[in-house]
Amino acid sequence: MLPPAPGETLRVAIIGNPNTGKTTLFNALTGLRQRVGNFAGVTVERVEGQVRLPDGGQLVVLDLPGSYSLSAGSPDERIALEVLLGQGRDPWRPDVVLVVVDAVHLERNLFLASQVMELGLPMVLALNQVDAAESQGIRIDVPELIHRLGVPVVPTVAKRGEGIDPLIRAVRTATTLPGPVRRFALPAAADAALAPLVAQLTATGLPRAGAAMEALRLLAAPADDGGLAAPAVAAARDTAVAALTAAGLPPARLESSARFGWIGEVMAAAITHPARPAAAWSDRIDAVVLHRVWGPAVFLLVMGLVFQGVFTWAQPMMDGIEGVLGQLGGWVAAAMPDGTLESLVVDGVIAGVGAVVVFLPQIAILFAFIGVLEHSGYMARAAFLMDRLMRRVGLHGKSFIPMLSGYACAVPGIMATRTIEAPRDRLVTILVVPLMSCSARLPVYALLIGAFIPARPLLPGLSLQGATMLGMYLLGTVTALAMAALFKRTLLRGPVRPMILELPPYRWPSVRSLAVSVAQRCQLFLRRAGTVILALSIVLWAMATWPRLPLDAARTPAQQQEAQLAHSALGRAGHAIEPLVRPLGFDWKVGVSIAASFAAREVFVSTMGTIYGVGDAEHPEAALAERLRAERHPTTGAPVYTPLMAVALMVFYVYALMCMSTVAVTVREAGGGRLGWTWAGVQFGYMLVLAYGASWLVLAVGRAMGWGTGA
Amino acid sequence: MSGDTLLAGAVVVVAAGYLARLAWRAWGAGRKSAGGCDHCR
Repeated sequence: MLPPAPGETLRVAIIGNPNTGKTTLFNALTGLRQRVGNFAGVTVERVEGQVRLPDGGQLVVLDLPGSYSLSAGSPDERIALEVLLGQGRDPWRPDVVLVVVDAVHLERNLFLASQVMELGLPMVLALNQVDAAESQGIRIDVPELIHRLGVPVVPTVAKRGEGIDPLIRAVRTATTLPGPVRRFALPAAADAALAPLVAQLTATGLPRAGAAMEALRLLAAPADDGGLAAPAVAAARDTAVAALTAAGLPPARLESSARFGWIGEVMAAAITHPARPAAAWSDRIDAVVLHRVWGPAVFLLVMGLVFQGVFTWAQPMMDGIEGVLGQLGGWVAAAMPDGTLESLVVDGVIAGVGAVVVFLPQIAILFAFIGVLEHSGYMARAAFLMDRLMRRVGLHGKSFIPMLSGYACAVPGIMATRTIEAPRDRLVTILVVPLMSCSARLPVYALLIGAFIPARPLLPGLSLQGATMLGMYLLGTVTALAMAALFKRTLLRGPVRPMILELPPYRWPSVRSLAVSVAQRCQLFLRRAGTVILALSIVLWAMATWPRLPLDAARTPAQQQEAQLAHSALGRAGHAIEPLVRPLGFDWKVGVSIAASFAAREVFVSTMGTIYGVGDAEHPEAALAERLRAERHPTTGAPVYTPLMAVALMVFYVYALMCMSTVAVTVREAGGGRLGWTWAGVQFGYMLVLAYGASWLVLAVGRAMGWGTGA
Repeated sequence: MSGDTLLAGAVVVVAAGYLARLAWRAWGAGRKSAGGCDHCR
């Protein structure tokens, strides 16, 4: 084949096992900033980027979801297979496949590489993390590896950008080389037994190379595997299994023994391992953090410190932002003539958006901590601990990553369930992911904890505030597991499946990628504040301002403002909602803020900011927490908000599905159409019942015990 | 009605229009493709 002409565009698909640094390599190639993490399953959807070449040409690079193998069975592995076969919804067939392997775990990584080789597409192998392999004393004979695989192999260290130029050159010339082929032979009896199944798969539209590979995989696939959906294929599989068994070849182990047999030969020829395994210190850390008793204790301690840090370290920055916003409010109030527009800017925009923006430092600190835990490799250990628990409740081990993503936002969490093959397990996970406390709940928790929970020290380095926040996150997580157990035993029964969980080596987090991920989170938070929350604050301000109540000379200014608020559209809507939230101890202001927060949970905070901004125009500089603490019943003079009510409200937010985007994505991921809406309805309904019931219980028990009813 | 109030009213209408468009998109996302969350876009 001729080399590509200068200026030509080449399509390159990147594929590799999870956690091989595939996305880091994609970022190094394209200069984009896709999210990376030191655990499996970060990339669930295809992401595309471009590389401009010096000769004027370009590479269009597609980052495929990480997978251990190519198969038509699991949704994300199917995406990869369809793209490589040019059978996707958009027929984007790559000119070159770039397989990224982790040099430290080459043996396991070559399984996927050997499958890709069978497709016959021009292929380049990026031998990533060679620095880590070297530091562990693993020596790789690259020329021998090239000889054995029959494809170009380029050593890289993607996180430092090493080896990127040679890699681009190798990709550029890969189309001139002969295509790779299957490098191992099956016993003749196996070839004969598989031939009808291969023919059947070819008849369903798979190209021959893909069909031979898929036939091998199907031998070990469970009965509900997506690849066996067609009855003719399932029947051909059963015939092949019978023929292999008759020939004395165990069908379920045929593929793994053939591939790993060949991989073993490659490893013996090209890789030299150190006499004694290195990284003993890593094992020593694991002995503690994965211990049955110490492991969970360390986990709780780490998370407690994270949430305490969120409060302690954010406070000075929050005070700074509050000070600036207070001054801004005071300055605008003084500079603008009194009137409707001034009220819109001060009470609507500054009070509403400001109430949310104040929590930017907490978001930044939380995600910096989570980033350190992810990048260092600790999060994968936490996954390991969780996996034991999740198996006990009957949840698929692969559900952990979606649930972990749910701590940032339920939407990517729900999308990450695509890695789960069994439809019922996937649905159970979709239903419980929104119970994980997402970043949009953080402003709600932080406002209420900051205002009503005293900073009383509990343990060295942990106060009641940090512990309360940790409690809210744990409550969501434990409930998610309990609900999953319930769904698995009722609506969505099915067997428990094991997961292969890889423990990555401990690494020092890269400051740059940490800074990038924190900056991205902050940017998203501010964008929401500047768009959805700004617009909602303006609309809610209007609802709190109109219709106008005529001035009554008999009222004091404070009484006039309170009466105006009650007379406004928002006040009327709030009073209409009030009977629903009264049993939970909430007044109409909380009720209407909860209702508005269906758009997004942070809107609770901005709505409260706007309501109290409009209701307290005399003090444009006061922070929302102060206003809430100062709120008194007009008749009794007792505080309206108590610590108990704050806890009941937080528990409501732990459970309630106050998020339009999550409902939309559940509808889509649960099958779309009527089926999707039904499951979204089940999810919204059970979460609302939980929210209402649990906060009622908190209030009832708290009152009976006389807890936290004073200010 | 004062110019001040009219201007505030216009701002409110723009904000309400923006929200309506977002809600419409989220509804559409539920029916077919593309998630509608700023956290993960």
